[in-house]
Amino acid sequence: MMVQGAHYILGPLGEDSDLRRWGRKLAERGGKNAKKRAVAAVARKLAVLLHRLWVGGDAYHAEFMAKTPELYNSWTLERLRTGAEVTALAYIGGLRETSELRRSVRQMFGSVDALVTPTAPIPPRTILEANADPPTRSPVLDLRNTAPFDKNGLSTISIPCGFTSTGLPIGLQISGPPECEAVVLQLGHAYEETTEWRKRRPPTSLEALAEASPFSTKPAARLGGIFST
Amino acid sequence: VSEKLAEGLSAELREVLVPLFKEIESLNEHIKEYDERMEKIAKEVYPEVALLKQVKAVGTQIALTYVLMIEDPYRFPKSREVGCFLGLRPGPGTLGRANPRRASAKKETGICAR
Repeated sequence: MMVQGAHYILGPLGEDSDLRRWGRKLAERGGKNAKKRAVAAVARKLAVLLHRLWVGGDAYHAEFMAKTPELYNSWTLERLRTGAEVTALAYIGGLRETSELRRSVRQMFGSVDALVTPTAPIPPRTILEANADPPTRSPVLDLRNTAPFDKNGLSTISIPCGFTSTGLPIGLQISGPPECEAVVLQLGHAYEETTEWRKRRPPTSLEALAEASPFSTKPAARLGGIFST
Repeated sequence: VSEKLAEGLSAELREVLVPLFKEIESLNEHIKEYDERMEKIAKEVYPEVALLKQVKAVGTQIALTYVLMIEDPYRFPKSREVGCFLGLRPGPGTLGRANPRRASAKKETGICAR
């Protein structure tokens, strides 16, 4: 059945798609049994794609989204609906682009050992802000620095490296090549051994946060006062 | 339909071809009936078939065979392993070696792979 589907995709009636173009490229490579190999490769991809579709989040959420959409956070619901609009062929294309990107990112790590970046480009949200629905600011911003590392399957750690002027913690992100967690953990450990940030705790109430603000009228309660070591 | 098709034919040809046309017509009716039954089963018993049919080139027949063959999709930790199960690629750790277990697995899943 899979081979039958692959024949259709590669045949004259098949519609243009990334999978078809990829299969045809394989067939054009020439050599013994190139066409047969291309059909088998497309059939294999098709089988994998069908499995991904079947066990993917969309299938899991489809039923709940239809029955009880009000139980979803509005932002989560919007993202799930956007994802559901992606066609299977676009999904295949996306998967292929991701694997190409991962390959080039892996090559980049041939010349550097690790990348050090801020964990988030903006200060963290308070629990109140995080629970606000609709969100007070786009959650995409919080993920801007971490998402590329997740998508590329890189070994990444986030460790404390200071506090904002309002007393909220700041993270330092260290990333290494895939499956090189040891390097990343060693670097993180070395940084923590030479700094004291890990010993400090952010305030746990809004009042304490307000007092820690540099704009507070109480000089003794400013950031340095609260977090002195 | 078979009578209509045979209209323009000579008497000799008609004598030979009309029974064949009737046979084809009867087969077409059977195929149509089975297709309808398959669509009904897919709709009522296996809703996941509709999900898999999103992929162009995958119809009810392919999707239903796939669903019945895989049974529980969660037994494959990685989607790539489905390719091995269906006999479309060598199983993990069998590169360059004969594996009698794979041969039997191939027989089992042959219908889906073909």
